[in-house]
Amino acid sequence: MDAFENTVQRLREAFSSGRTRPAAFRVAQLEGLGRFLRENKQQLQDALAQDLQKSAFESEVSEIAISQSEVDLALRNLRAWMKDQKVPKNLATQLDSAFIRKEPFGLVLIIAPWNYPLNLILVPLVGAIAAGNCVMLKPSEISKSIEKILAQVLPRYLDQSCFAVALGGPEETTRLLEHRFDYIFFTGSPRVGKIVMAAAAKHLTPVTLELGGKNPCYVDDNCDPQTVANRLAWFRYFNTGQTCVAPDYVLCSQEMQERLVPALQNAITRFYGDDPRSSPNLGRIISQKHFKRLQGLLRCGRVVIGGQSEENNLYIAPTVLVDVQETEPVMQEEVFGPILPLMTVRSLDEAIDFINHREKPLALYAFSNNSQVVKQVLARTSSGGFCGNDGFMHLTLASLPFGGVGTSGMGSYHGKFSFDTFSHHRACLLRSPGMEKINDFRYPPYSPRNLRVLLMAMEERSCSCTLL
Amino acid sequence: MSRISEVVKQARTAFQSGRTRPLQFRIRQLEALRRMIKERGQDISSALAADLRKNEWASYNEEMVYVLEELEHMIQKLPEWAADEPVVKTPQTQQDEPYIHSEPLGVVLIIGTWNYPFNLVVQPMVGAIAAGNAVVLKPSELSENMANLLATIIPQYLDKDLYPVINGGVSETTELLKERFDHILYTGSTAVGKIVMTAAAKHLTPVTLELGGKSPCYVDKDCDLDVACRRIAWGKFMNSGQTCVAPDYLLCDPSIQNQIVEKLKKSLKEFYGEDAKKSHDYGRIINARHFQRVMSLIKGQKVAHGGTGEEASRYIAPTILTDVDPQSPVMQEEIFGPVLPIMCVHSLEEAIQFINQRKKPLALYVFSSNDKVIKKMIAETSSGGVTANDVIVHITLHSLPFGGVGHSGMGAYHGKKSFETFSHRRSCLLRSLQNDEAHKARYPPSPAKVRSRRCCQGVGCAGCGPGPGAHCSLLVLLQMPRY
Repeated sequence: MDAFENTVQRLREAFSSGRTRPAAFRVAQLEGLGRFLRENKQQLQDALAQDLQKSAFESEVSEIAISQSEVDLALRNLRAWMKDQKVPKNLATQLDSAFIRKEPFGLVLIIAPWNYPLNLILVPLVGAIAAGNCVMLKPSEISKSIEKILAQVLPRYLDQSCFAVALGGPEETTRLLEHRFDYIFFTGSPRVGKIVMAAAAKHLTPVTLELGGKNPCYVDDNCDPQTVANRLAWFRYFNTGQTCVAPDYVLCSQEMQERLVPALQNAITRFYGDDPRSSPNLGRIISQKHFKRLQGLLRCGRVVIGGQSEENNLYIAPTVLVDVQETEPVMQEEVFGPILPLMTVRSLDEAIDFINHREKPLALYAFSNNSQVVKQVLARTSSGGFCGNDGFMHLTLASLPFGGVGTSGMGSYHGKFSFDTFSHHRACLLRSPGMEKINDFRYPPYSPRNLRVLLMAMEERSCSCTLL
Repeated sequence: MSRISEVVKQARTAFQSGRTRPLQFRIRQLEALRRMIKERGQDISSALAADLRKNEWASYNEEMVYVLEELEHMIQKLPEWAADEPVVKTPQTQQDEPYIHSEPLGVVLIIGTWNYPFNLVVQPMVGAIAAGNAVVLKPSELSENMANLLATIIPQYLDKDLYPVINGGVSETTELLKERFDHILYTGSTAVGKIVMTAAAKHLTPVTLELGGKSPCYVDKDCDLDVACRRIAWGKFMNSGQTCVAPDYLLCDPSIQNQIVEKLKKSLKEFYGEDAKKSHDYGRIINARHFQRVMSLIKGQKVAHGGTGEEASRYIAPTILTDVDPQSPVMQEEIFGPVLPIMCVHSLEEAIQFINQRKKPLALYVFSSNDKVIKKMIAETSSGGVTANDVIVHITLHSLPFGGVGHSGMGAYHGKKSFETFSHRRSCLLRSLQNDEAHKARYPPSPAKVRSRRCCQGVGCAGCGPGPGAHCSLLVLLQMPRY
């Protein structure tokens, strides 16, 4: 009997009671979530500033506003999403009612990371609640200030019989994963993703894993280096580089590299001033551990921009590296920091080859004035998502599913995709007891004549010939 | 390198060559598969007869016809399904092209099972091929004749490198599961489902698990019992009860139990004659182990019909049990045999409660003339799928996804769902490099004060301080579309 046993039991009983099924209940929870965001905006911004030195602007744009938007979208569309989805019928089922019923799974576990600690826990939560589940949240213990608000303030806005927050580090999470859930939603590293999936396998629990990788960024010769540099820099150094979909490394020609470096310096200076350390728009690294890791990466290749670091401030300057080798750490692990390695290639083919020899990334970027080049990169590679001529803007459309492939993840969410992810799609066919004559053909005893008729029907081009 | 590793590597190399990408290639493979079924129908039938004593009718009507339908549907729809799917734009992406692009995953593993040994390997394969993958097939070794046939005929009709068939038992399957795949579809038992998912976790391979359970069948007092019993008898005893979506057990009011038994008996006589052993249409149990397992479930039960078996031919008579105790062995595991237990319940609520105390089944059935009863049963339970007033048929409609929930499985396939299951749906946004001015507002340095969302919404107003577009457009940047 561990700390979570009672909570899991309680949530399960609440689910069995049917409390979360009516639309009105789900609407009330979503409205509560909206109020939580509005009434605690200042505290949330302060907490994000404390955990990651996130600017008010970044907090608004990438955490609070996004979560609020998802709440609003769910509120606007909930009833439409909940409706039974009628499907086309075949000849044998013309008189029947055939539809897909969306049902909650039951008890959902959402495990969130520290880099967008509000967004990456609340956006999935919106989907899980909208779909009618009871939810156990496990925020990251590393983003402590947000964790505290989620544990102490959020519950006041939700029905506490159907919702709980679990706290702790890797040990507690391991114990939590021993319990049976009906769905597990995990955002984090591929290494831990494997552990989560293995734990889920013991209970045959379906999972969505939002993982990561090294997101390549191909920059063609045919483009304006300054425009590209602006876009690259913004998406790379946003949240101090601690973004799963940030451009991780650049592939370009030697000539383009020579134009890109000064352009990147321009962009960095424009964004963060001559002394980025004193810019209110640049955040800090989450922890000592990650700071040391990133400090190590600064020794790879050659620093052409930035390279400064300050341990007691967890500060790493917006940095660009060149002359990096494939075998160096900065090209072996996901950077997840404000360091952008540039690697030179001699052609588009070489770039594509390089990308395809690696694990499928969460995001992939290609910059070119020539749309054919962009389309080629897209067609000849695979990744969770793709953006041509910009950074992770594709995330801002709720009409696009957000998820990985291969080691960058499985499953997806955002908008309606969240609702569908947290729902079981139950196939329903309602027949009438009448019209039994139609069924006669399917019953034994079978005569050779039956078989001949069936074989003839199978010959028909447009047959929906199941005679059941 | 072991033979299995080599075969998988060859499939991956063949996939990486890119030849499965053009739709024409995939359609040609699907057409070849269709030709294979039409030309080798007799061989397929003979294998099914040898493995399960399935007759020609059952081979076509219960196995081949579904694969042919799936093929027709897939060939016809592939261009539509494989096309890029444009999506709703936000105000900030009006000039851009956002869409979902379907791509193959790579190398898919399909592990089949023995009860519908042709259909359950080839029908998923149709979707995997259509989605542009290489497909490794592992038929069940228990249906030996089909396994050998598939290993022979598939390479005769399809690309040899892309679609290899690997045969073998537990140790070969274990070895196969060590290899890396991009999706695994497994049909079989819950116990092995866990093993498959655990192996898949090591490579972060997504899985579709088509498992099983005890599919309940509730028969309401208010229903046409003749029709109900006929349909139930048909679905239960087809393939000698060895169907994952067969009605596993019946729930009914004690007052109609006897009638149900009589009408089931009547239908059984109609279908299989006085002695089912002599009927050409009645199947056999797959092997000795399962024969013994099913026979043992009958022990100690109140037998209202049948109850006998013959080990030599692995024949078990169509059997009906009454007044069954929920604690007895026959109510603890999926029967997967021609034994139908009837359990008495005194109300719909009691039936629902009984069902909900157990693991979520693959299928659920409810017979009633009263719509309200049907609606309540569906609303207050969960299962992979449901058919009301019939059995099994929901899985024959390719517009309905076929899959389980909870212990009965995860993921689904059939029709378009197959195509989606075996594809990666990649989110794409194509922008232009022109007009960086439009994006100026998003770049730092940002204004000292953060405006609330309720302000001018990007239109521009006096209250915005530095002028329209400064900070407001950043929020408008992220506004969700109204749809």
